[in-house]
Amino acid sequence: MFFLKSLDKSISILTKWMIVLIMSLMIVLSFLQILMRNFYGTGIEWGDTFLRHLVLWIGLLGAVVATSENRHISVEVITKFISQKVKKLLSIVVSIFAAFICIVLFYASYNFLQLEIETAEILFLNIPRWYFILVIPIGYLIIAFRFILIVINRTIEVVNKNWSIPETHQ
Amino acid sequence: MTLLIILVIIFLFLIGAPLFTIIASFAILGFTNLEIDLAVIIVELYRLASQPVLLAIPLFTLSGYLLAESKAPKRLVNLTQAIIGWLPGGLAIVVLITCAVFTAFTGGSGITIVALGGLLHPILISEKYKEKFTLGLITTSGSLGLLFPPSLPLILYGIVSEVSIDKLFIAGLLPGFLLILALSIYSIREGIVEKVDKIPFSFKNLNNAIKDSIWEIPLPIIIISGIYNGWFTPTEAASITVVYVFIVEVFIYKDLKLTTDIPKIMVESVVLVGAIFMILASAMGLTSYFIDQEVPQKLFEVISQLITSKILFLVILNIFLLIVGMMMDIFSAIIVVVPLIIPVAKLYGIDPVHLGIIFLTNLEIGYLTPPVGLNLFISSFRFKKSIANITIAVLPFIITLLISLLVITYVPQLSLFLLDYIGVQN
Repeated sequence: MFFLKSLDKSISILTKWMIVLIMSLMIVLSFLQILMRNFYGTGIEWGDTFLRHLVLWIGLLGAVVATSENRHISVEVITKFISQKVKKLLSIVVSIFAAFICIVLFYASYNFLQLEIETAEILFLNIPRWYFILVIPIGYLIIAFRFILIVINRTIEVVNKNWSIPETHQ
Repeated sequence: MTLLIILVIIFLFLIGAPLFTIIASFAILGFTNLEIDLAVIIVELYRLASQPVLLAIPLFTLSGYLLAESKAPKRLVNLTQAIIGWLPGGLAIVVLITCAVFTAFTGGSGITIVALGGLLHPILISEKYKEKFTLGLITTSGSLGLLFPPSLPLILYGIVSEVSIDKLFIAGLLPGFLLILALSIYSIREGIVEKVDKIPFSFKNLNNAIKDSIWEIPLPIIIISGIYNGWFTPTEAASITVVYVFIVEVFIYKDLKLTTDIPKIMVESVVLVGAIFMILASAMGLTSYFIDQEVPQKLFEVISQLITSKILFLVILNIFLLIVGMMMDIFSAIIVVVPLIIPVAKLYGIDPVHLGIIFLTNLEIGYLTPPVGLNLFISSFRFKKSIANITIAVLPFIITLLISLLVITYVPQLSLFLLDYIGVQN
């Protein structure tokens, strides 16, 4: 358990730094493109393709953080009206399901990645497309891992009869 | 067997499973039944990376968060107050306008009530507005402004429906003003009936307020005129906005610290982007399954037998969307429902741009619809009042908005007139 927790923590720090780095890169590059297009009539040729793939990364990295902070979007029509106890038990069921779906999505994206590695299509500057696609299976895997961690943590809390639920902020 | 699985998934949906897993599970179920490799779901996800507009989402979201965390909301309140505070019910109109501008930038996920509500509630009470009116006003204003550029829901609707975003940005203007106008009239009436004090107009105040926010005033002007004149695309506008906001808030006003605040706000905004992205990614897969199975056509065949006229279709659509808007957040509602409704609405002869405006107006009101609209809960939490209290307080506002909704729905020219006038083509 200790190992899992420290692994989770390292992932968390790494993700957050990558987010800051990629976000800054996106801002600078997209702005440079506008400046160059207006003043020199031409931007970096591969700039827009690169930017669009960075959004893919930002999206999945954001989803990774959203998972550990319990901030994925869900419908809370029923959960608003039930007791903490039931809520906690349901959250374990829900997280098991979510982990299962993410593992299936990991498997699907792993298949997709393999197809991409075989075709070895170049995106730009000799960089193959699958380098960028790598983030999809890795992202789903980490998200699945985090849902499993939630299942473990909540189960331990239930065994210890701790019924409090950390507040999620909208 | 399939039916049993569907029932289980619906149960998990109701007890609060992350929406992206629910959507993905339907796609997985569908493609497994057809014995198609699940990689197809990821192929659809990857198609997102070919959409240039997608970049606008993280950039606009970050701009909104930067503005929300700075002192811009306070400066905005001061400025609007100095301009129109002297009207009867002026302060209430100040609330409407500030919240609308703020929501247009932050995308309306309840941040407005939390960020601005706390600021505005005590001012309204101290100016002798009634508690009930104040609560209703702030709760309602929390989702006002979704029709104005650069609101995230507008961009998202554009991505999902493949309608050009410049068109949506223009189409939303008049309907957006109509909502504010209707609520303003109601506020002026309240101001007169309750004899609320008017704040005398003063050039000195106005001058100071303008001086204070001199760097933020150009922002909406740059974005709106830039997009409308075709100087730059919505995505470029997003990039310009974030750079502008960053420089102004960090280096000029020094509201935000580069090394501590900025990384935190970046991560914070990306969490919202990630949450939306996951739903979008799953929905791409499910939509391709639906289209493969010709679900929209089948849906139309069923609906067209029951509903023969366009007017009736719009009535049912409005009711349906109010329920959707009450139960779901606006982003998921757009991503999930739009791909199914667009083909059906087209067959009834409804313009996709107009449909977008109807959609967003409904979802905006859905936020307030009892018993489970999101704003009711946020307000109840923020101001420590019971849901019942808040519900009673928002009722007159909902009625005002519903009347405007009818106008927006049945007068398509309101949404489309400016498009023709400015002459925006594809």
